[in-house]
This record gives sequence, C-alpha cells and structure tokens, in this order.
Amino acid sequence: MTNRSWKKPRQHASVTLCLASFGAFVRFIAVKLVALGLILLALLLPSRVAFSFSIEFQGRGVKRTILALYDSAVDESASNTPIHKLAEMPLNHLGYIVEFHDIRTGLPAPETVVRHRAVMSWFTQAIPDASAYLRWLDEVMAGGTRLIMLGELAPPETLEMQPLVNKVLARLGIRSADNFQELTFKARATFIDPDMMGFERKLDKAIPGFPIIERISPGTRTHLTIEMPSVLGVLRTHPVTTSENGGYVALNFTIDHDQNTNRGGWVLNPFNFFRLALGDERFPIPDVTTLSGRRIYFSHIDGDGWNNLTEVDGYRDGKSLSVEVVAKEAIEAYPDLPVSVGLIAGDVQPLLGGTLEGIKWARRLFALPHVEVASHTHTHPYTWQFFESYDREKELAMIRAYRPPDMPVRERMTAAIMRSAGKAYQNPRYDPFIAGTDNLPRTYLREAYNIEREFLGALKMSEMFAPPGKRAALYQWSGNTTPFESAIEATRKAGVRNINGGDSRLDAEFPSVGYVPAISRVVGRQRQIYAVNSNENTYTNDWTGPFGGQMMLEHTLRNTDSPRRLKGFNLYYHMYSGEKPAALRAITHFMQMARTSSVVPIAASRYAAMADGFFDLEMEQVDLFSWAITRRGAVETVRFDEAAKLAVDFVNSVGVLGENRHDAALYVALDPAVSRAVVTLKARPETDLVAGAGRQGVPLVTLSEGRWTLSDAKSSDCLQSYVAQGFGPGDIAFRTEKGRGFKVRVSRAGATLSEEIRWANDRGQLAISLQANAIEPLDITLACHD
Amino acid sequence: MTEAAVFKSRLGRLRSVYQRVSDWIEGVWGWTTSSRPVLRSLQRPYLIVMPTLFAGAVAIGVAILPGEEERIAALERDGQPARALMMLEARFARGDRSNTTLFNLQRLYDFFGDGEKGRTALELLAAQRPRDPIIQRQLAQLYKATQDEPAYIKALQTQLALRYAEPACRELIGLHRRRNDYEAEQATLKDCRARGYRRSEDLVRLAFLEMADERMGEAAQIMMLVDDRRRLAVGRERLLLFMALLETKRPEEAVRRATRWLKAALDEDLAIEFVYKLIEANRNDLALQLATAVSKSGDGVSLTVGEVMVDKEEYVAARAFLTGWLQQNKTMDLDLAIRFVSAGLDCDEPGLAMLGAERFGIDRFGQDDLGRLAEMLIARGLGPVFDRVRAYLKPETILANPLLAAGIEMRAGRLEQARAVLVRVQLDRLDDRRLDHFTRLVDQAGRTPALAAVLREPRVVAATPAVDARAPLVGPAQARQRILRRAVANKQLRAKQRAKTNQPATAPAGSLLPFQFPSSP
Repeated sequence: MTNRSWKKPRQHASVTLCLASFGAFVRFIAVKLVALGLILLALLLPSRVAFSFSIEFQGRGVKRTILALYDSAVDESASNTPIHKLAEMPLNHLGYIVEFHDIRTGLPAPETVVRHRAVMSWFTQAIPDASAYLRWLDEVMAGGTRLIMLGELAPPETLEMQPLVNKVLARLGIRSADNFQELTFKARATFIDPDMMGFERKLDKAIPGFPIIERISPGTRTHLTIEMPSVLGVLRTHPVTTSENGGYVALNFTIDHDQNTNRGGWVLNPFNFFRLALGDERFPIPDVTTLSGRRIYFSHIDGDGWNNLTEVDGYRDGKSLSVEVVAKEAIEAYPDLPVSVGLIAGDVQPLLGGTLEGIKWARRLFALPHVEVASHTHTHPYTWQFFESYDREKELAMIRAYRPPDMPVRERMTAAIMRSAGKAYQNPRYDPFIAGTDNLPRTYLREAYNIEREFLGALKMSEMFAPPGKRAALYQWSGNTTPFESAIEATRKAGVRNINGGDSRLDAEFPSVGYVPAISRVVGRQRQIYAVNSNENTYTNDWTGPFGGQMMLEHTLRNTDSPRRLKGFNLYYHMYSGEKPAALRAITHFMQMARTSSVVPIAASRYAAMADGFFDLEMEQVDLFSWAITRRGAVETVRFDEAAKLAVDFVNSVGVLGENRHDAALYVALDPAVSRAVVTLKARPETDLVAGAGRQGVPLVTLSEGRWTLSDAKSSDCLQSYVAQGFGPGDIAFRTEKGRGFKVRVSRAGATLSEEIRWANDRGQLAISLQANAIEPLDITLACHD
Repeated sequence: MTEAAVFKSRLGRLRSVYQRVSDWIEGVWGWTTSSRPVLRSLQRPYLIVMPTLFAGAVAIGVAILPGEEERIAALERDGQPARALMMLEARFARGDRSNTTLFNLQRLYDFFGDGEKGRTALELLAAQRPRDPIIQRQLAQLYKATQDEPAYIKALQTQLALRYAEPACRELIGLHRRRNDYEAEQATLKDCRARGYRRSEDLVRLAFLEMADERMGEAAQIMMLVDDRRRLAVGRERLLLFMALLETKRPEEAVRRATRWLKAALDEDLAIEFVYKLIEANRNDLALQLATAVSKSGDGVSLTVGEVMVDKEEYVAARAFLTGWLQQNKTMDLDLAIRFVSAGLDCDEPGLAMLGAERFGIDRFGQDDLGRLAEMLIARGLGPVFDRVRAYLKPETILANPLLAAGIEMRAGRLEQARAVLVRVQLDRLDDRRLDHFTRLVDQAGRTPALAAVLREPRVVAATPAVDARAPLVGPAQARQRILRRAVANKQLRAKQRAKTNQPATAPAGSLLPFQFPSSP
C-alpha cells in the first residue's frame, strides 16, 4: 500500500547541480512543475558553472496502485484476466501494484479511486451498462486519475454512446471516428515508434483491423500511425498513444498470437508503454530479484515422488527411493546452497499410503542446517477449487468412477502370503484411495478433506521430523496451484509464507514475457506468491520426457536477467527428479551454476517474504531526488531504471548499505535494521572513485555486492560493522577509497572467528572472502588499517 | 531269446569291436606294454563320450555366446545402463559408426541427460541416413527440445524436402511467423500449398499476405479455393474474398458468393457492407440485386435498396419504397433512423424523414446527430419540420454548429446576425455537402463583401475527421454515403470487434488469452 498522506510539512531541499551532468536530471525535472523553473534558470546561466539554491518541496506519497477493472462474466476471476496474465508482470517490474475490481459488483465510488495512480481496462466483450461506466470513468479522470485502456473502451460502443466515448477519449488527447477498418490490405504504417512497437513481434505485414483514432491534442504522443487510402480519402489512425492522462492501445496492437505454434508475443513494448502511460515518474522501485547487489538464488522442492524407486546408477538396487538420491546428490552435497523441502504428509503416513522409509529421509533432511522445513500439503490436492466447497460424497463417487487397475493374480498371491506371514502388503498402484491420476481431486483420498489438517496438520507433520525448535516456514501449493481464498488464509494463520504457481518461462519454447508471471496472484483479500521459475514438469512434457529437459531453464535464467532483471534464480523441482539420471543431472548442473555464479543464496521463505513486502511497502517522496521508504517488510533492495547517470547520495541517505549496477539499472541495498530508509540520488560523478571515505558523512565503506546479506550497519570515523548472514563462503565486495587498508574481523557473540588485513584496489574495490559459517548470523567489523 | 540276452549279445559284439579297434591302435601306433594302463582306461566308454559331449557343448556355447549388442541390451535390461554406455562408447572409439551404435548411444546419452553428446550421435546418424524421414524427424524434435531454433527450422526444411508432412509444414510456417520472417512464411506457405497443404487458416493467411502485396488475383484464387472446400464463415474472410473479386473485376462472382453466404445465414452488417462496396465500385445494379436477394422487408439491408434508388435518382420509386419500408420496419435503431432520415431528405420527402425520426424518437438522438439532422432540415428549407426538432437542440449544440446557428437566425429573420455567424465559418472544415449548404445560406442572407471574401478564399481541405487533404472531393451522393457508412461502420465495429480478427479459433469464447501457458501439477 502506498502512503496516502498528502499533507506533509513543507521541507526545504538544497539541490546542488553541476551543469556538466545536468542531462542526467532532465527526465526528473521535466515532470515536475517546480523543476521547470530549475531548467529555465539553468539555461540562463553559463555552462559548467556549479551553483546551488534552495527550493521548497511538498512531500507526497508515491501512488503505486492501479485499479484494474474486469468483467467476471467474461473472465471468471481476476487471475484469468489478460491484465493479470500479461500486463501485471511488467507493471510489477515498474513497481506498481494491481488491484482488481469486478465491474459486475458495481463501480467503486469515484472519490475512492483517487488513491490509485490509474484505472486500467482490457475489455473485449460487451460490458453491462457501458454508458454508466463511461460517465464514471469521466468523473474519475476528472479527479486526476489516469486511464490505461487496452482494447476497447466500453463495449458495445453504440452510436448513442459516441459523445460520451469521445468525452473520455478526449482526456487522453484522442478521438474515435467511430469507424473500424476491417480490410486493411491497402493500409501502411507510416510511423512506427521503435521504442514502443515491435517488442517481440513486428507489426504484421497483413495489418490487422483497426479503429480510426484521431489525435486531438498536441501533448499526446503517437507511437504508431497507419494510413489507408479509401473512397473518402486517406484514412489515418493512431492506434497506440500515450499522454499525461494515460495511454491507449487498440486491441489488435497489443499481442499477437500464432495459431500454428500456439504461442503469443507482445507487439507493444509493455514496459515502455506502461512507464509512459503512468506518467514516467521516477521513484525507487521495490525489487524482489536482488539482494546485496546480486541476483537472488533460492531452491525449493515439492515432495511429489518422495517414495518413488530410482533408476539412478549406484542407487538402482530396487530399494532406493528418489528422496535418497536427491538428499545425497543434490542436498547434502551442496551445504552452501539453501533449499526448502516441502514434504507431503501423506508420503510419510502409512495409513494414507506413505512409507516408513520416507520418514527416515525426512528426519535426515530436516536436520541439515541449510534445509528449510516446508510443507507440500497433507493429501496433495490437484484441483484446489474442488475443496472450496468440499463434498465427500462427490469425491467418493469420483473415486469409484476412476477405479485403479485390478490386481493381477501374482500380486494377490504375494499379498496373501505376506498377510499370512503377518506382514503388511502395500502397492499404491492398486489402492483406490491413492490417486494415480490428476483426474481425481487429490492424491491421498482415504480420509475426508479437512482444512485444518491440510494446512496446520501438514506443517506440524513436517516439523515433527525436524530437530526441536526448527519451525516450518513455507507452504508450497500443489496440483493446479490455484488455491482459494480461505486456503491462502489458512497458511497466513499458520504463520508461514506460501509459494508456487506461475510457471515462469522465457525461452524459445515460450518466447514472450507474457509467459513470465506477476509476483503474485490475488484471491479475494489474500495473496498467493508465485514461484520465480518453472519446475521440471513443464520442461519434461508432464514428466514424459525428455527427462533432462530442465536444462532449458538456463534460457529463462538468461532472458529474465538481461536486458532487464525480471526474476531471480529459482531452482524448483520435485522429488521425482531423483528418479531419472537426466533429471538429476539437470539439477546438479544448476546447483553448480549457483555455486559459481554471482548470486546471493537465500531460503525460499525469504523470497516469499520479500514478495509479500513488495505489496506492503510504502514510500514518500520527501525531496526532488529523495524518497523515504517504510513498511517494506523483507524488501531490502530498491531499483532505479535507466540510471546510468545517477548514483546514491550516501551523505543524504539513511539506512542505505550500498549500490550496484546491472545493465542500466541501479540497485540500492537497504539496511533491514532501519525501518525508515531514505534514498537520495545525485548525478553520477565522472569517476566512481570514493574520496574522503569516513569523513564528512561519507561512509567508510559501502556495499557493492555480496553472497551474504548484511544488516545493522554501524559506522564511526574509522570503523564499520555489520551483522551478516548467508550460505557458503562470504564473498563480499565493498567500495571505499582506493588503496585503503582494513582489518576485517569476523566474530560471533564476541568470539573472534577470523581476522585479516585487506586492501582496496586501485578502483576502490575492497574484496573479502570469509570462510565462516554464516547460516547463523555473525558480526563483521572493518577497521581502518592505514 | 529274451531281450536281456539280445542286449548282452549286442554289448558283447560292441566290446569285440572295441577290442579290435584297440588292437588296431596298438598295432598301428606301436603302443607298448607301458601304455597299457592308458589303453585300459580308454576302454571305458564314458571317458570318451563325456569329453566329446563337453567339447560339443563348449563349441555350441561359444557359438551361441551373446554378441556385444545383445550384451548391451542385456545390461540395459538388467539396470546397468552406465556399463552399456561404456561398451557403446568403446565401440564408438574403435571407429564403429553403425546405425545401431549411434542410435543406442543417443538414447543412452539422453537417458543420462548428456545432451551435447546425444546431439552429436544423432547428427551423425542423420548424416548417415539423410533419406530416413524418421531419423530426420527425430533430429528435428531434438533441436526443438533443446531450443536450437535455427537448427530446428533447418531440420524441418530438410524433412520437408525429403517428404511432405502437414505437421512439419504447419510448424515451419508458424516458426517463420513467430520470428517475423514474413517473406519466408509466405514462401513456405506457397511451397507447402503446392505440395498439398490445405489447412484453411494458413491458406487464408496466405491470401491476406498476397493481398498485402497487392496480388489480388492470387488472393482471390486462394480464398475461392478455401470457400469451395470449407464455406468461409468469418466475416473478415468473406469480406476479403468479396473485395478481392471486386478488385479483380469479377463482381458477378462476388455477388454470387455473397448471396450464397447470406442466404444461408443473414449477417445484416456484412450484407450492408457488401452493398456499399458494390456501390463504391459503381455497380448499383448488382448492389440492388444483392440487397433484394438477401433482405427482408423492413430490415437494414432492404433499406439499402431504397438508398440505391436515391443514388440512381429514382425518387418516385424511392419514396414509395421508403414509405413501405417504414411500415414494415419493426426495430428502428439509431443507425437505421439516421440512414432513413437521410434517404428521406435526399428524395425530397421531409415528412417521411420526420416520420422515421419520430418513430425512433427525436429525443433519443444524440445532440451531435440531432444537430446534423436539424442542419439538413434547415438546409433544405424545411422550416416547420425543423421547428419540431429545434425544441430538442441544446444551446451548446447550436453554438458548436455555425451553419445551424446561421439557419436559425435566418429563420428568425435576423439576417444581420446570420451574416455575422457565417463570416466566422471556416470553410476548410466543411465538406462539399456542407459547403453547398453554406453557399445557399450566404445567398439567402445576402452576399456582403465580407461573405463574398470568405467565399473567394481558396479552400484547401474538404475534410471529415480523419480524412486528410489528399482526399478526393466527393459529390452529394457520396457525401450521403459517407454519413450512412459512418452508421454502418459503427455497427460493424461492434460486430467485428467481437469476432476479434487476431483471436484464434481455438481460444475460448470471450478470452483474449490465446496463450498456452505452461502448467504443472
């Protein structure tokens, strides 16, 4: 939620601008009325003259929410809408939060919409009472809220509604000529804005049908112009426009879909479009992809296939389980890489169909310090909707309908002999209460579904196998990963984070950012956090092979890191990956990659907490280039895009640990121990060398990047200390004055673990590599050693 | 003689034979007394039989020992694929490039997830068997699975060069399209079509691409083929074929097909579009023929019959037709009301036009439309009729329309005020019809020097919104068509946007999401 306090005390900001670097600020200043004066003043003064002056700045909350309207008669729920599936991720990336509203429940009072930065719609079908909607929209826009319109404005736009339609469109600086051109073979695009169009797909050679949209305001930017000769003359349309009041894209100019390969792609550049349509305002973007200046890495395993027999060489004795292989080859072998293991309670409950052997491995895994205890449900629901209004009778009928195969005579004889010998015989293949197919609502069907047991019970079951005091921290959604509201609520009540769903892909098979999901899915008042990457199931064609398909995750990892870092690095798989050598090889490949690449390994629940924090975070612009950030939960990084010419002004910032750059973005690491961080920007100096470190407010060292996360920074003239936590070796790079020496001391509870002298290089980089175990937090102190 | 006695006698004979053989050996080989014990031992038959049997067994055993291939298969079956792979690799290292070795190598590398080596093995195999469609398909699938798109495209092309396959064509066309390589897409479509590819959606796509290249003949040919095989159902496709036929000077064929489509299921908007396209092509006769063939009394299509009559200046017939049409009409909406009023006024039947307007409800017209209607009435000097409309006009509507304002002033006898309004009119913003109206008003108000100067000013643009200066000047009939088309286009906008030209047929109704998202259980 944003801070909606508009009546902050007036503050004075002293801004010193160096005209030589003035260009870096032009984007800021252009959108600020106050700053306009600055530009004029600057233009009047001779260049390369530094000057300073004071201006007054009214602090204000940054509006980050967008009200997305949808029609539940067309899209059953918010998560089925194109806004959620296609537009929300780019909006999240730009720092915005989407709040959905079903127009079938009535329109919100216009005065309540003021808190949103924009209203957004992507209608394709007739909506109820379109005229009333248009009147409402007009009122909302009159109140200063922007409109982002993809597709049609208010279908059906009848002739009677045209004046109203055009009244609303006029606020966007456009007008509808109420004319749709279906046959476009004579049409030609006479202007294409390369920054806006042809993002993933070029404008089709056979231009799709278009409405005639005129531009009526010079302030409206057109990003595409199409002209077509007709008997009436040359028809000209502007199907993609942005203005200070929002943006418009005609339906056929957003995405393109190819039927043959059944894949879609953006024609429009959604990042640029939303940025411009939302006012192109710069503010620190809460970032959930990066910590300590590095891309995050986390891994989580769904327990599916825990008890499956493995085919992996060395374990292929007919007794070894998948979990054993994964435990030995992918978990115990990588103590420097945290992993969350989601146990299905049913897998370790013989009454339901689980095995005792599985319990042994649960205990062994959860005892490992880098393993996070998690639950992957109690009975493994496949179809969550079924349990929203659960009916046991209906479930029993389904069980009867999907009968397992008949037990062959040999099996029966074996079972009889074992029973006569007083031993239990179990083969899940023939147990009607263990689903062998997702046509049934869940895997373990013997007991009636119970929400208490499914959540709290499952989490307790996981904890039962963990060492005393080690609590379950995460609930990993199963099946179709679309839980209902009270299910998500149950995880919140149990005090754990939740994750899964989304199935992010961005590779040659799914070649669009449209396949990269938003951070979360909202269900009623609850929020489900999506996993960051997809798992091996989508890479192996529903586990039918090729079983090494997850190797292709590498493409998604690369494409979601550059040219913009859309997602972190999430190694997500199931226990059944321990069944196949190829699948296991893919996993270990990525674990090696995580071990050797510049990432910061964290627990999966920490990512989920960061994702939750994204939505709670509030920020207030306290000065022209300064923002106060509060209620940020676990979000510890903010980002500025297109910031090659910007840098953090550490002297005027509070609770900022350091900065790092990736492509054109500036990542700012915040101190978790400071509840109200203030990030202030300045023009990037010509050289990144630090001068006067430790004096006149210039910090002694600042964090560039690190494999561990730092907090609670304390500094004095010649001493800087942090609390650090992390997995694996503590490779950390600081920035300071070139050539300076530091005594680096690592301690825990006062006891020194290591001490060494390190010197900054000629570029002012101070690199340290600490070998201590930092899973439990420890202290790092850097003292001058000049 | 008992059987036992027979057996004994035979055994005795055997012994004597054996003895003779022994003696012979002794004689021939010269074995001495010292070798007697050996000979004695040889005299026991089983000592000969058993080694012979053993040797035979060994020989047979060696003969039927499993070969390396069988051993590899057995190792795999016994759950030792790593050993099997080692053997295969050893064979490969020895220079064995047989199909079996390469095939098994690829399979086992795949099993162990060693993609690079698996790919090499399969590529070698494919190179050895360039004409094996199964191997080529397998190679293509491997490239697809490993997301090597350029190699995948090449493999599909090789596969197609070898043997036509619809799935390969479909995939290749889609890939080119996805990569924005329209030239390659078009070329592949043509090539595949020549070899028997008949997927309607892709043929329609080819027709659109041909049309974009202004090859109307080809487009028409393709669309006719699709229409003959599978009657075109989508309005946009029908329109495309209709236009392609008109552009290639085959209007009769266009009307024949349109009549067939519309008689099967009347799409009023499309029918009207066809009629207007025919009018644009100056084929009023065919327009009338089509409208008559597919319309019902009182519907929107049948109104076009009256409009065509007006266009042909058959005013008496048009009046009679419009009167009948109004009686038959059951559902008057704004589109129809505007068209009817316009047609009524054009055939000098203001009373009839007003009847139509009142049937719809004058109060239901938007102010813009009402302003236009009032302007038309006043332009034709239909003061009393205009007065019935005047009551519904808002002052801002009148202010926004100087021609209407001037007309009202003149009707009130305030010529001076009328002239003052007319002087401010920007002629550049008037189309021909309204310019004609303006001239008439100036004449009625009296040509003052100022107004005369306005009329002398060069007029650059005959503009309707979104029509630029290059637009040809159009006569009154076309001007009316423009108004009508505006109404029609609006209806089409709604109808066709529902159809969503870029929405795949497979997408669920109402969904904008043709994307197939990855999903996992």
